[in-house]
Amino acid sequence: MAAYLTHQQKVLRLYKKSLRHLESWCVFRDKYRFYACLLRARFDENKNEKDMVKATMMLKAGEEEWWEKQHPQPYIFPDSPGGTSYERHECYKHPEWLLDHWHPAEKAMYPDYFAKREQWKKLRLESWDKEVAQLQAETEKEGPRTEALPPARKEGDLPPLWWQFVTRPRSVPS
Amino acid sequence: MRASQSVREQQPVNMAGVGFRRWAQLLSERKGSGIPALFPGARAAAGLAKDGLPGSFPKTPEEKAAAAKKYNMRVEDYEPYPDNGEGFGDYPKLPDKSQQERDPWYQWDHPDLRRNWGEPMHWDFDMYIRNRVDTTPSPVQWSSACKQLFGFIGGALFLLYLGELFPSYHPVGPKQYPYNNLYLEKGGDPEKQPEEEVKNYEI
Amino acid sequence: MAPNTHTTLVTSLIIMILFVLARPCLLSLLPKEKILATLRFLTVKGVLTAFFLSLPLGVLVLCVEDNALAFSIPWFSTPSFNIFFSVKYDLYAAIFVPVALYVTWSILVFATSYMKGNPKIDHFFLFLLIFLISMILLVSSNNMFQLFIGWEGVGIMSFLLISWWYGRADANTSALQAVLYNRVGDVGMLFTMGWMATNLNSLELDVLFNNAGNYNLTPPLCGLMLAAAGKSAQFGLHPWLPAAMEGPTPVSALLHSSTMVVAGIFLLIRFSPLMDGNQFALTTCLWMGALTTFFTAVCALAQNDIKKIIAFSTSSQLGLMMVAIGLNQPQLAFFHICTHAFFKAMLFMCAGSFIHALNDEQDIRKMGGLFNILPTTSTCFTIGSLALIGTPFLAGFYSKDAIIEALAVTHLNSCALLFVLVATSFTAVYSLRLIYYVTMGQPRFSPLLAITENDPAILKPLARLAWGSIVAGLLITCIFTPFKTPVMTLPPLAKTIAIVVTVMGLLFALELAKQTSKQLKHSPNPFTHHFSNMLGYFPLVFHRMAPKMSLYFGQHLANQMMDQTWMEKSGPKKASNTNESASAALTAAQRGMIKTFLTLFLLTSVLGVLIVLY
Repeated sequence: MAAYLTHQQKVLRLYKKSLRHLESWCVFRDKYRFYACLLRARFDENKNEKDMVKATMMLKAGEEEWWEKQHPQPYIFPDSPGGTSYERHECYKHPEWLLDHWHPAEKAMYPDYFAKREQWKKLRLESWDKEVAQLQAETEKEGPRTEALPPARKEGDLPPLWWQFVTRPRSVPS
Repeated sequence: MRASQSVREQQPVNMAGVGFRRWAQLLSERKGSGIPALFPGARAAAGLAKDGLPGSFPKTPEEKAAAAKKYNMRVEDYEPYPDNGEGFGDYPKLPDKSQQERDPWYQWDHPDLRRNWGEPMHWDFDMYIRNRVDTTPSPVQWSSACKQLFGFIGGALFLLYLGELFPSYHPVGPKQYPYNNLYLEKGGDPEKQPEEEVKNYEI
Repeated sequence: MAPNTHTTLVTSLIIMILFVLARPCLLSLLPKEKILATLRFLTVKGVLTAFFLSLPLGVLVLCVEDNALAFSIPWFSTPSFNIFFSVKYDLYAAIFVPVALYVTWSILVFATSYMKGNPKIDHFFLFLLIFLISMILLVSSNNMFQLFIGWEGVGIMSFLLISWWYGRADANTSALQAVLYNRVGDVGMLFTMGWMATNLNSLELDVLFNNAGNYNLTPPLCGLMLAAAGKSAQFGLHPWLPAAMEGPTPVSALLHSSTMVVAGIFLLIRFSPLMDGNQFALTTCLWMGALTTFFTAVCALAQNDIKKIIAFSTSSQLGLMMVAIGLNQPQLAFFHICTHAFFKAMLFMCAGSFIHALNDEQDIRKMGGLFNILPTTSTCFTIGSLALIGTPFLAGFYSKDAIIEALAVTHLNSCALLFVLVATSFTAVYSLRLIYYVTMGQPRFSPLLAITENDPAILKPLARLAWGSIVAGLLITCIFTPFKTPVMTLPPLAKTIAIVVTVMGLLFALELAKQTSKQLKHSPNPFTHHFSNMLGYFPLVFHRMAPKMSLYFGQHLANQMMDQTWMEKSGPKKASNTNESASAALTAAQRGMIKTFLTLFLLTSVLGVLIVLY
């Protein structure tokens, strides 16, 4: 993940944000479409602006106008942050190490799963040193510049810290 | 199975049990008076250890850099609290922003606290967790929100006070009943019936 | 029947009801997987049985002379103070308990469908059941201590059920809000209990009513009003109620619309004999109720979350009940509680059905045209909304109209009347807005949803409550004679004012809908819209200011300043500083200079001379 956004990304984000808030204001789809076209026209008007100072000032003015005209209760998708069912199933998600604390009698109730799990754990023990070695080799001296993890470089290797991803809990219980 | 054993070993020891055992040991071992012997045992529970406390206020740039490194911060971001004897020491002064305000889309190490591992904590972290004070900027300015809310409350209370001075009133005539307005039923004396019968109607 | 037989019958029926309700709770303690997995069906059956048991109980109460049956068992006693377990099953309890059981039964059946697939669904039912038992304890108790147990029981169940999805930070915040606002009310309740126990040496309600005549009752009544304001979300303590919509929809239907939130009003109804002569308390209730009903109706106008709108309308109706208390007409408030329970529970269940069908979508901007897809739910939703706005001869009409009529003919605050009338027309406005956005027009949701309402566990309870919202008003008017004769001769304006303002509100809303569907500007005037949309800025201002102040000062005053005072200004540092300066002064005095010796000699001789002389 790059640390800074380009001017283009900023403009696009402003445009999307404005559209979403416009959609919150204009409930009916046809009316929304009309105002969305007007908004698009305003963005398109200056799309060929070459002077970066001017373009940045326009972006700033656009952000300010958006702040003025934003909807205090914008429409948020239910499972997005701030939505009504965001984090709803968080309480049913448990870390996988809890399975290590199961009693052998409980484990015996799911023999296939736990047999497979032992294999996974063996795999993790095998690949852990390689993962650490890869991360150490690829990290710069002053510390990492990005939070994105590198992919697996060699044939047969697993990507670093893959265990976190394969053992994450399901998003909705069923 | 090695992993599971190591996890089990890492389980926190029951501190209360340890404390109790130490007290019991002290009481039983010493043959003399037990009370002075209790003090070392009691002292251990009080206050923070030295390395849990912030260090002394950094004065030179080198000290500042060391402190910033200690708190996992960049030197540019690091700014200690002013040294006016309140005991903040070298603790960094972080911006007064709530955890709720942070980016929910970022993959935090603690998603419910919106916090990364090893990140410096705000001095009033308990105040800014997601259930407490929210500092997210609101579309309406604080002053205008206050003005409108208190204006509304004040206006409504003033109107209610005015309403108390000028009550609404619909003139309603006295209720009319037959039989001399229920003279007998209302406990009138049957001996002294009024002469003229009350008429509530005109024909 | 002789009164003795009555008492025995009533006692045994009440104990049976409590046993039938407590049975699933007790069974859940057994370590049997089978029972735990079927607990929800046991709960539904138990509540239904309890409902049928409560009906003969109501009939019995109607048969006896003073419409009240009571019994008490000594609970614990000290030499100077006794507490009884005492039950008073009077007309209020006799009507409210069957209503609550019926509504709960419908909601529980609905919840078996709505909460399906939830890993802890049986716990959920257990929570609802414990809540119901507390509520029945609350309405049937004849003792402040027992009432307080029920009061706290419903409070804690509300907290647990709001934070049902406890991994969600917003749900936890709302649950904390609910419990904290209720604590403010509990302070009032505890104060009143303390006052009663100190001055009247009893907590039995009958004893209190008989002996309280000689006292200035304003302080305990203030406590009671604070308690009622907290529990019933009156202005100032109201923000927890819309926030409580974070809980699952059956919880909103049961706790936060029909039963738990009316506990505060019910408390004042119970204590109405004390409020009778106290003008200050009545006026305060009137002001509080009028302000609440108006403010929350304003807040409901521009909300977009379907549950929030219904929550604000609940709050507005609670304000109307408080107005009835302020008019000294508690039986009207009680009547409104009973009818309101039916249609408000149904509105929430309809909302739940919509939300479920639209895959957890709660925003009315993304609904629309649902009448074609969910016809039964939409019909019930419309019936509920019509009953809410007081359409003649539906349930809401009987109670709401009576309250407004009573207010119109009483020689009282004209502004309170104005607020209530405006709020009544606003009720029509936001109800019509809700129907317009949800059931009418073009669909605005994703066309890929598998929408269905064909589940008997959704349709049957809806139909039951729809019947309730149609006939409950008439039924309850038939069996519930008002204690005070209503004014019969009133001018046509006063008689028709409720319906007139409602119709005006409807017309106004239609005109507004016409204007908005043209959408001449992309956004409305922010000044008025934001005030209503952001809940009158009340949460914004108070929920940021109050915790910040208390936590900041808690940390900096109590912790740091105290530490500093002890450590630096009076404790070890102070001792070391004093010693340092003192030793410095002494050192200066001991340099062997002749001047110092001479001065000391002079001083001591002067002192000696002075001592000798005097």
